[in-house]
Parts: sequence; C-alpha cells; structure tokens
Amino acid sequence: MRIERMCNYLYINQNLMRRILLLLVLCTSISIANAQRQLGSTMQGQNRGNQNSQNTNRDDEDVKPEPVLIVIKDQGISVGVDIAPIITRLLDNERTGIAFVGRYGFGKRWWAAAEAGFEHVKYNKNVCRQDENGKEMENERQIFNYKSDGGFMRFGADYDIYMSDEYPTNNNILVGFRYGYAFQEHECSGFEIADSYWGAYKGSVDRTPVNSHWLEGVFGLRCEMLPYIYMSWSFRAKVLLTSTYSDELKPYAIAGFGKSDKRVAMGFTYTIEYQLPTNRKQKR
Amino acid sequence: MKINNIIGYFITLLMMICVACNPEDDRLLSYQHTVQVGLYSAHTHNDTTLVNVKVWGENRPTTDNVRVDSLLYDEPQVGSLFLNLNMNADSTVFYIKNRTLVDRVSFYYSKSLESVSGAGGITMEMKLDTMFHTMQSINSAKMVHKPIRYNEDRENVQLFIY
Repeated sequence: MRIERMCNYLYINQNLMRRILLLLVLCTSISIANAQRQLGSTMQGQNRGNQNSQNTNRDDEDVKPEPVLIVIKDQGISVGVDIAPIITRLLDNERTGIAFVGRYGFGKRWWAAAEAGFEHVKYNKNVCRQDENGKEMENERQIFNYKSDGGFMRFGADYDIYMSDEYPTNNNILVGFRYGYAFQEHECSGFEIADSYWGAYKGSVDRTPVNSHWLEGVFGLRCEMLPYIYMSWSFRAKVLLTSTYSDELKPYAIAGFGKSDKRVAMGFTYTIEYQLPTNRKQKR
Repeated sequence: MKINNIIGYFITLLMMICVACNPEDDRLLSYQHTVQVGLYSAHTHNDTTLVNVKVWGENRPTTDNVRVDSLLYDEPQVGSLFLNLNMNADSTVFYIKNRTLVDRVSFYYSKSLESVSGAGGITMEMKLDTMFHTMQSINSAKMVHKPIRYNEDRENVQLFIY
C-alpha cells in the first residue's frame, strides 16, 4: 500500500518502484560496506603501525614502521554541480535545467548547504482522438503550448550520522533539511480543451509570475571518489508551503520542486563536488 | 581508485535514470469537467433510478448547420448522471426528462485553468457556486462537493426524486 502511494507520487508503476528500491538497498549496502572496509583498513594500518613501533622500540631500530593513514574529516568549502537535471534533459528534451551546489562544513558533523539552479519547461502538444476507422473525431482535439522559465534557491543543513570520532573517513551519510524558494514565469501561448458536447474551449494565458516556498527533508550518501572529488546522491521529500500564481493558470511544474499538482513531492539529486583543499590533514 | 564506490555510484546512476524515465501522466482529459449527480429517493434517501430518461443541454451548438442529436442521455434506466458543464460559459442548463416529466436544472460555477502535464495537457478546474431546479420530479437537491477536478471521482450533487 505504501509502495502504491509512493508510485502515485512519482508517477511510476509498482514494478519499476520495486526495482528502484532494490537498487537503492544494493547501492547503500555497497557504499556502507566500502566505508566499513576503509575503516577496517585504517584500523589494521594503525594496529600494524603501533605494533611495528613497539617492535622498533624493543628489538630493531633499523626497521621503519609501515605508513599509517590518518584521515581528518574534510571541513571547509566544497562546490559542485547536480547532474540529475542534465540526465533528465537527455531523456526528456522538454525539460532543461541545472543546479549548483555549495556546502560548508563546520563543527565535526554539520554542513551548511546552499543550492541554486534554473529550469526551463516547454511542452507543445497537438493530438486528436480518433474513431474506430482511424478518422479524427470532431471537437476531440487537444492543444497545449506551455512554457515556464524559473530559478530556485535552497538553503539548509546536513548532519553526518556516519561519522566516527575514533576512525574518521571522508564518507558521509547525511540527513538534513532545506528551505526552498522558486521564482518563475510561465505562459500558455495556446490551448484547446476537447469537449464533444459543448464544443472545444480555446484560449491562451499571458506570461505571469509564480513564487513558491517549500521545505525538504534530505537523506543521502556522500563519498570521496578521488582526492578532493566527491560524488553524492540524495533523496528529497518535499512539502510545498505556499505557491502564489494568477487564477488563470496553475503552474505545471515548480522549478526545483517538481510537479505542483500535489503538495508533497519526491526528488533526487546526484552531485559531483570539489572540496577546496583548505583544511585537509593527511599523515603517512 | 575505489572500485566499489564506482560500482555503487554507477548503480545509483542507473537508478536515477529509471526515476527520470517515469512515464508522463497521459490521461485523455475529455469529459473530465462533469458534474457527477447521484439520484436518491426523496422518501427513503436511498439510491434510486430514473426510468426512460432523456437529458439534454440548453443552447447546445450545432455543427455545420446540421441538427445533430443533442441528447446527452437517452437510456431506459440510469442510477447516476454525468453532466458536462459548458467551459465557454459560467452557467449550464440541463433538461432531465423522467418518463413524461421534465425538470430544468441549472448550474452556476467559477472556473480556472490547470496544466496537468505535457502529455495530459491543460484542463479546466471548476467550482460549483449554486444550482437551481424545477420540481416536476425532483423534490430537492444538495451540493455535497463543489470542486470539480479532473482526477476526482466524487459525487458533486445529490438529486432527491419524488
């Protein structure tokens, strides 16, 4: 039942949702297993280092201790780009967008996060229902030309629930929140709503502004792929607080939020980040 | 290079593509701007039916000067009615003929456009303001749900029949 509701939110069928959940579990398991493996390596390295140091003190002063990797949590500023909208653009040429991400680590576990981006939506539809003979039916044509341009900003914080003070790594499991604000303009240059009984309704709506505010809950993984290069994904549960628009036309999609027909939406980000090397300490 | 990380994130990327590929809402939105009318007995308030019913709209346009059949319903028996509201006007009048008795039912409403999706297009969202009816076979009427939305399957009006 919950899967069915989630499918309704995401407009996907249940089989696809089950596959996605399976992949999510698999990916999470791999990431955590990898992080644990790294921790294990660090512990073994430290143990070996300690043992070698003791041996060195006791027996042979010429044997050098094996290098010990001590990773201090990266703090400071990182910047990146969310490539999820780019992938979406490759699959759906009616939506174009990009988002940039910045985060600042403070304290041991906290990150301040800011995200900004834009989205362009353009739909052109012109279809007609056909009868049994394949002939187009009268007053059954649907026309819809819609365009929306807008930007969005999100601010919030993440908390690292994975961090170990004893064996720190630069992998994170983050939970957090965001406040989002979108400003956009949309218009419908022409539309036609089919009605075989009373006749089609035709019209257009001029360009009007839309302002929206929402809150997001964030859960995601962040992992250091290469030195200073991070990749992360996150799921977002979004709740629309307010959206102001003209009475003539309700927006189809809110930039940075998603479809506006429901107050709750799900989102996904996939970011590549670069950690500015300001505060890293590695010792070998 | 941490190969497990690469595998994990590659899987995640595939997952993201799956999400991005979710199908559009491709409902055909014709006939969505209808008032759903339930028929009830004025005596028992239980469900009832109309017999030999004919329903048509007032001032329905004709096509190419050819008089087309304007009947919305021509059924031996119905338990509920789905009445298309005229999107080009702020009110719509229907005539409901039950055996030999004819009632005139008029709906007054406000309307706004809503874009559903690229595939689904745009639809009209309506809200009933008030309604009037004659009392040949209709005893009374009650508006139980005023909004008329494209994806709702709810009874909007209850008609209590003698």
